[in-house]
Parts: sequence; C-alpha cells; structure tokens
Amino acid sequence: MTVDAVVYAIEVSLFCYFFATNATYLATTAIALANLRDFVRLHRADPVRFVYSEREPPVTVLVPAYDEEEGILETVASLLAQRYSQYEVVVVNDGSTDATLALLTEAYALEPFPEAQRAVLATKPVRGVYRSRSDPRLRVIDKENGGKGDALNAGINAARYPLFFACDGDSYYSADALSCLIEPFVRDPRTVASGGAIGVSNACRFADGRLAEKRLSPRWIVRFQVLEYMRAFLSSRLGWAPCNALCIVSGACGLYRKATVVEAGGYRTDIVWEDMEMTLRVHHLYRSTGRPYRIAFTPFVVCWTRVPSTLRELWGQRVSWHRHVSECMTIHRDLFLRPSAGTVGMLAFPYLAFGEWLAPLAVIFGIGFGCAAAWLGFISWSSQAILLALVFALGLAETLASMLLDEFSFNTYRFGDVVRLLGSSLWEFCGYRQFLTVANFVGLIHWARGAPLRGKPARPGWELAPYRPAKGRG
Amino acid sequence: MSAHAFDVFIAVATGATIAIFALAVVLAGAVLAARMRAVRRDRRIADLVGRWRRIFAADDPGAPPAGEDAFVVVSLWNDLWRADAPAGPTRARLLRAVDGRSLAALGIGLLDGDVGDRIVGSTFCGSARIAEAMPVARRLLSDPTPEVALAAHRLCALLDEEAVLDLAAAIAARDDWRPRDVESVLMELGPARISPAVAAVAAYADDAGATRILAFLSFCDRATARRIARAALAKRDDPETLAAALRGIASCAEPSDRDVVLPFLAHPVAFVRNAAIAAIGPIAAPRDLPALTERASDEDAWVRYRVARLVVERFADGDDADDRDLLLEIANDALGQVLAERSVSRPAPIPEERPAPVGAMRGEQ
Repeated sequence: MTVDAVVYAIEVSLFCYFFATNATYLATTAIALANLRDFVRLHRADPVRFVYSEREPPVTVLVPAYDEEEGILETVASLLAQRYSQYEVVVVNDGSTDATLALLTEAYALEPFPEAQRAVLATKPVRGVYRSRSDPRLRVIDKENGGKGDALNAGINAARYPLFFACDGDSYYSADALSCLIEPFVRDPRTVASGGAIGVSNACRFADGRLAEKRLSPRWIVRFQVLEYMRAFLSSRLGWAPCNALCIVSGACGLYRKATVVEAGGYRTDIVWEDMEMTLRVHHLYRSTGRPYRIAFTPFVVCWTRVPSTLRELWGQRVSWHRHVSECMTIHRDLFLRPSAGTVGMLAFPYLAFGEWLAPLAVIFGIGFGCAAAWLGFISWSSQAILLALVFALGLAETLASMLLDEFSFNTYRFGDVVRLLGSSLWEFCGYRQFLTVANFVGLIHWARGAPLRGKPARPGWELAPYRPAKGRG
Repeated sequence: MSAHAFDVFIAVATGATIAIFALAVVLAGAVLAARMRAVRRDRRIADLVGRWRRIFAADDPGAPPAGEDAFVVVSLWNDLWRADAPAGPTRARLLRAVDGRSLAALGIGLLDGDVGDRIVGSTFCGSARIAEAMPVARRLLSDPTPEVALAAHRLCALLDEEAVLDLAAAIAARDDWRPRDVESVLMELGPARISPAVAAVAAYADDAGATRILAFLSFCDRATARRIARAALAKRDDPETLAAALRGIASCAEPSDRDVVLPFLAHPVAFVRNAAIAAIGPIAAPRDLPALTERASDEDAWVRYRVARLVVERFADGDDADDRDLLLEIANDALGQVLAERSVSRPAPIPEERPAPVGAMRGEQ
C-alpha cells in the first residue's frame, strides 16, 4: 500500500467519523421534531385541567449553595413562587465562606430548628437546621463543605417528600417549573427522573422571582452559548429521551424519585460535577436489574441560568465539564455496546464516547493531519477545503435545525434577536468552536493526568444588576 | 484506496457540501418564515381577543372566523369559559354567542382533527352543550389518548344522564387518567349526578377498579359516600381498596361509623392502619383511647406518629389536667420513638467507606 493510499484512507475515515456523528445528531433532531409538535400543542391546549385540584405528588426542592451570595435570594424567591400545590424548598449551605447563610437568615427570618432527619446517605457533618418564620415551606441546612453531590445527599436526607428537584443556587426557575417537570411522573408511573430545558439568562430581566423579559445578550460569546443550549436541549436531549436513552439530566434542573437515587447510593462526592454521572448510574441500576423505568425530558425552558460571559470563565467551565464526561465514561464503561443496556448501551453511550468524549482528539488530529497532508502534497488544498466546508455545512445545518425547532414551539426570542442568532450561527465556526475543542482537549488531559480537583469554576458574571427582593418580604 | 477513488470521494463530498449548504439556507429561511408567522399569529390572536372582548360589551360579537383559526378561536372560547366563575356572566354571554352560529360547527369539526383538536373540540362542545357533537363524541370514548377519552366522556356526561354511568365505569377501568383531570370533571358534574353512578360502579368493580373509584368518594354526597365506603369496608379484603375506603369515609364519617373503622386500627398492613387513623380522627371519642394508645407502640413509625398527633389534637385540650398530661406524655413518648428511630439528634457519622455506587453489571457476568 502506498503512502498516498494510506493518507486517502485516513482522510476518508475521518470524514466518515464526522459524517456519522453529525448524522446521529440530525437523526435525533428529526426525532425531536416528530415529538415536539404534539408535545407543545397538547400542552398548549390543556383544556381538561379546569380546576387546580392539588393532587400532584409533593416535591422537595433541593438548592445546594456554596458561596452563592450573588444569586441565592433570587433563586429562592423564584422557587417559592412556584405554581404548585405542595412542595418545600431545602437550601443546603455547603460550608459557604461568604454571606450566603446570613443573607438567607435576614431575608427569610431563619431560626434554628432541631429537626428529625432520616440519614440514609452519608454526608459531611450537618452544623444546623433552620426554618423560616416568614415562609414555612423553606428550610436551610448548614453543613460543612463537601461539594455539590454531598450537599444534595444532605438535602435528600432532609427531604420529606418522595420526589426531589435538584437545582442550582445561581439559576432562576419559571413559576411552572415543577408542574412541567412533574408531568412525566403523572403520566407514566415508570418515570424515575425528568429533566427540563435550560435557557440563558444573561441579559434577561427578572422581577419578584419571575422572568419579566427575555432578551438576547449583546455579547457574542453568550450568543454562541445560546445556540449551543438550543442544540443540546431541543435537538439532542429531546431526540434521545423518547428512546429512553437520555444520558444527562441537568444538575440545575432535574426531578428525581428519591428512592431511586438512594438505591443508587446517592450522589458521588469525589467528582466535580454530578449530573451526568447520576443519570448514567440510574440507567445502570435499572438496566442491570432488568426493571422497567423511564428518564424523561421536558422541552420547556423552565430554568434560566447565567452562562460564562468571558473566555476565561468559559475555559474553566468547559475544561471541568469535559473532565466530568471523561470520568463518567470510565465509571460506566460497562454500558458500552452492551445489548442488555438497550438503547443506552448500543446507541447513546457509544455516541457519547465517540461524538462527545473523544471528539476533541478526532478534531485536532483531523485538522492537523489534513493540513499536513495538504502541505506535503498528498492531497490538494482544495480537497481539504471541501472537506472542511462539508463539516462546517453540517454544523450550520444542525444549529439552524435547532433554531427551527425553537421557532416551531416556543418562540423564545424576538424577531431582532432571531436575526442576530442567525448571524451568530455563521460566526460560531470562526474561533468559538475551535476554542471549545481545545478546552475539551485540555479537560481530557486533566482527567488523564489525574490533576487534582480545584472546586467548581468561577461563577458567570452579571450583565445586569441582580434583583433583590423587596424589604417587606422577609 | 486509489487516487481515482479519492477523486470520486471528493466529488461526492463537494456535491454533499453544496446540498447541505442549500439545506442550511432553506432552514434559515424556514426559521425566519416561522418567526414571521409567529408574529402574524400573535397579531391575529390579538385581533381575535379584541373581537371576543366585544362579547363582554355587546350582544353581537360578529361571526367567528373559520379555517385554520378554528383551533385558536375554540381554545380562546375554552379559556374564557374556564376563567369565568361557574355560572358567571361571561359563561352566559359565551353560550348566547354560540347559539345558532358557526362556532358550533367549528367545534364539531375539530373532533375529527389531531389530538389537540379533539381535546379542544370535545371540551368546547361539552361546555357549550352542543348535542350534535354526541355521535362523534361516543366514537372518541375509546380514543387511545387519555385526555381525549376523558374530554369525550365529559361531553357525553354533560349532555346525557345515562353517560355518567359510563364515565364512572371508565374511571374504575382506566389507570391512565390523571386524578386532577377526573376531579375537574366530577366537580363540574356535581354530586347529585355522580353519586348514583359511583355507587353502582363501586358495587361491582374489581378491587383495582374499586380502589380507583373510591379515591373520588369526596365528590359524592355525604350519605352516598358513607354508604359506599361502609359497603367496601364490609365486603373487600384488598388492603389498597380498604385504605381507599377508609380515606373516603374520613371526609364524611359520623359517630356511628366508629365501630366499622376501629377494627382496622389492628389491620396487619401498615398503610391500612394509617388510613384507619385518618378515618377515626374526626369522630374519635374518649372511649376509643385504649385502641388508639395501643397504636402508640405500633411497629410502623408513621402509625405511631399519626396516632400521637391525633391523640394530642383531639383530646389534649380537655378540662381534666391529669388526663391532658397523661395524653401528652403518651404522645411525646410516641414522637420520641419516631425521632430516635430516625437518628435526629445528631448528624450521621461518616462511614469510612461511602456506599459503593452501582458499578459493573455483575448480574450478567
């Protein structure tokens, strides 16, 4: 075999790899499109629900908070404003070093409350339990720092209800978040977890714990992430969910059956993030025991979160995210191509491995190899440009398909914002995606080297002054 | 791979690139078109709302639009209907607006549409009491979509007295209806219409069906609800059914029901005992104290907790200070057991090794 033939074979293999990953993505988009229309229309009609009858299962909302003084009051205000019959909010102060606990104490008139807890999961020691004099639905658990997973475990110990909603301490929740997420549990008793879509809140305006105005940030880096979130939630997750192969329920917006998480051993405390690992562990638990189950996804944007608005913040976030993906891949490697793991083992997990986890290696190798081959004269620059253009076109088509799904269903943004997003979809390939590839690659290196954990990345910055509740509230 | 084959591959890739770019342009156009359509739809809905607002101000709202607006118009009608208080002035005006107008035809037309259309159409035809929709609605009673079937049952039950029995039978037979939706329909029908039907179905349904129908006893009139619950407690053995009957009788119990409920305090299944405590709660008398305090040492923590709360709430405000202290002591003791069992007073010690997460699929190896 000549060198030319080897070079051609590698080029074609790389092309096939990119085509297969993008084709999988387009397939999930098609599934999502098929589901979304009925989903939205059925939900929009909703005519039988005349009366609010208060028969939904009660839910415990868990808010792990570590140094969240900037956003914790807004988060709690939005959670206490839920339109839901019976729920409680448990904030777990995970050894914050800032004024998180003091702010909550002042705003909600917290008082110490010696409370009974069923300690089913081991956690770092709990220093105290507080309840609110102004709102009986709110409790705060103060514990030593142990990470988000440990805080969630402490919250599960304190949860009074059979379902819990895992939140972030720096996100906002629409008033119908719980009622949207509970829908799969009510419709299908096999449901053990349900995730919701997350929107980018950087330039949005909030008032009294509610989203007052949806706006698109003027920053390009934020707009690119808006497109990413659309792709991730509307095309990818909504496409995988009907196959019961959803590999991640977002840590900021996931409703779980408490008994399931307890049976799975609770959240791990030795990894930076916990959401994908827990989702895969639930799959593992049920697939290995052969029990019927369902992990559902609700395409409604019920959670609004701030995304990084500087390259530095984005770098830190993506490095740690990809490290988490790497950890999940190795922890749950048994799922890979295992027929008894069904669609998770045969489709979703392999896609996650090749399409997400190893993608930085493939991209960097592909670009480097292609350029080297063209430089050395094995293939022409025009051929190389055509292959790159094809990858660009596939990526563009994916993004536009996701935008179309949003337009068909939710019309999240105004006309001017949609035009700006269309423009951003073109510029996304001019540096942003390459930046993410390098960040993911570094995350992979961090994981391979076993670099020590350095806590969660810096909090995304504010673009608007944070909302503070009125003084009379607490 | 030969150079020729690679050239062919590049040619195919070029074609694919052009095709996908064309697809991208089409998608971008579709995004903008969808956006423009949404803007136009919002304007049209605003116009429709403006027109329908005239219902509040004038007797003649004008003819409703047809075609693709049918869903929007009928949905809007449903929303206005839902927003008004039962028998409120808007409802009367809306009903007047429907009489003799094409809106009824739009509603009936929706019954042959997709899932959303069928739900909206059935709901509208039921609310507006459009008898012409009955033949189609009877066909929808067996619709595979639960919401459609329930809306069709509602329509039939609102228009036909005998169809209430079918609705009750369906409630007992189906496990895919959301309780709050069923409650809404039962509330709308009223106790006078549903009580005989629920009684008839509860008498012959199997245990699972009886359990489902007994969950809605509170929507029957008190006398019927009591009769149904007492009959279930006397004839049934299934713990789920017994618990449902006990929960049902809790809202309508009378002192004479104590003798029926008390034996269930000693039932072998914990959730039945729990339900029995809920049922005896409103009618407990001092002579029941021995049976209740016996439950203070029940093996189930929730039974102990509930019985302690019941004893305190029902009897601890009596005049006799000695009795009150004794009862509080019993209650505190029961609560103390619960708290001790849950290891409340101190944080749980951290084990040296965390529980192993679910790992390899060992069952297969």
